[in-house]
Amino acid sequence: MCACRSRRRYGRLASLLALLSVAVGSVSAHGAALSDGGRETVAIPTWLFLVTGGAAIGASFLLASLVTDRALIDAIHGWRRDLPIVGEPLARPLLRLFGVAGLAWVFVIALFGPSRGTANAAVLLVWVGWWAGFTMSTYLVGSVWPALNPWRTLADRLPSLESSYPERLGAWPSVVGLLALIWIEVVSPVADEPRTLAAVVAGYTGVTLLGAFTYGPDRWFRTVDPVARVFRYYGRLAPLARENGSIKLRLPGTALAETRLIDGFDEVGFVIALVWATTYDGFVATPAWESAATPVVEAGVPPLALYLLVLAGGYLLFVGVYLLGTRYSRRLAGTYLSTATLARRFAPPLLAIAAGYHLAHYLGYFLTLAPSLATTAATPLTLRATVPVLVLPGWFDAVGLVTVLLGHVLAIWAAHAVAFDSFPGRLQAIRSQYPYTVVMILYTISSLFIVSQPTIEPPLL
Amino acid sequence: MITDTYDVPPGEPVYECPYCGRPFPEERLLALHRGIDHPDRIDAEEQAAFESAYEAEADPLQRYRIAAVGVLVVLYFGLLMAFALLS
Repeated sequence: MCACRSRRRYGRLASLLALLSVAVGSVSAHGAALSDGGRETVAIPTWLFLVTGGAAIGASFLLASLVTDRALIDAIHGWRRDLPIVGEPLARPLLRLFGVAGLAWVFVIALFGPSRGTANAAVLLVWVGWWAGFTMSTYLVGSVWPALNPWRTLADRLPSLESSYPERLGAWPSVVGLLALIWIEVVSPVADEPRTLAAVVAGYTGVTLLGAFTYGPDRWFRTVDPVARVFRYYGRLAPLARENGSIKLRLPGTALAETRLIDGFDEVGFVIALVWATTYDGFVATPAWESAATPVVEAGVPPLALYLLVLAGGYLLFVGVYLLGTRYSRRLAGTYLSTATLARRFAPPLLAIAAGYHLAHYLGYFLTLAPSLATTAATPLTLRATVPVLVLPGWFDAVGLVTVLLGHVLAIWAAHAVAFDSFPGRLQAIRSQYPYTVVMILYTISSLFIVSQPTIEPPLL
Repeated sequence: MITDTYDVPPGEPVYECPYCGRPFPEERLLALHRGIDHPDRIDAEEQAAFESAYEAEADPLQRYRIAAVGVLVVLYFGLLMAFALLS
């Protein structure tokens, strides 16, 4: 009966907010059907729900394409307000201290705290507090990672060889690093076992400090360290950022239309890795993956290798589809800008998609487990038989589906602004977006399919 | 430090911007580019070329808009019907 209530509520919204809200209505109905444990309460077929999501993206593109006034687009993207923050000079040393203390605390609690992950405050701090909560704050508010980053604080105080970095590698080591971290996160019990977490954090600390020692902290954290790059890129979405020395307020996502963030194809590769990583993370936790992977493992393929293969193969597929879309975009627009230049210019909007997906994946997780983190952090060394969790209402599933759609809509708008910045003709700019829109519709449909599936533990490990 | 690169197929027409060197496949696009990206440097003749190229876009753009709104209407009512029939 709860399902019907939320369905009616969203139904009323739908009549008010038109197309996008129709998607919300179906979404809530879908989520409710899941929480009802198999009892079919809603007759909306999955394909219609997926088509509606795709249509919402197509409609967003059409609506964005009606805005052809360059002055208006520039005004939206150039809007800035100074935002003096009281006590800002104090914030940096405090954040540094907090970061280093947090890292030391994670080590101690992971090694000497309770051995059950759900009751260990270090595990909860890393996954709930940091990877879910802090990451959300970087794209929803603003990134303070350069100050908080404990490895940076440590490396800055250690000597360094300042060897010259092999330039031809570019940002590719950070791409490999990000994919490797995702793989470890999925296949190892790092999210459940405190001792494994301590080992992974120790390994990451060792690699990072050694790298910063060899190439210098500036170079290492700017180019190679995948974590610093993730937060730097996510921070571009945020409404708060430091620009020219002072903190400025801007409209969320509008800085994605600036093309100076991404300056080579290696960095495009990292943005795509970020988008793919969030998708992969969700995909391997679906029953669809379980039924596809089981026969392969039964045929003798080691599960770890299969997970790695799908991670690498999916990444190459995403890069290939993006390049294909860019090539078609170039042809449709009729421009002499090279494919490499277009790929670089249209990559930052993809960050909005990655953030929307991250939010869909982790907002519920964060809210559910935040009470556990708060309780266990108070007495980190004692094992509690039970830890409190927040029980989210059934309609909360809809929130994830909406954030996936919102990420795509923001990306479409940012790409529209990039197109108007890149091409002198108005119709030329609109046409350049057809291939990207088609790719995005297909991607939305697959994302919604993943988000709408029940979440299971990654199987066969 | 970030430079755009160009890829001009051999044998294709090239109209190069005298101010920044960016090549265009059509004279119309060059005229638009000069007006949008170098408004302070162009002379009266280039200004006139920009305005006429900008005006010339109005009709196709209007046709595009009508088509876009048409597709939006079809999408909206198509989905409305689908939801009415299937749920």
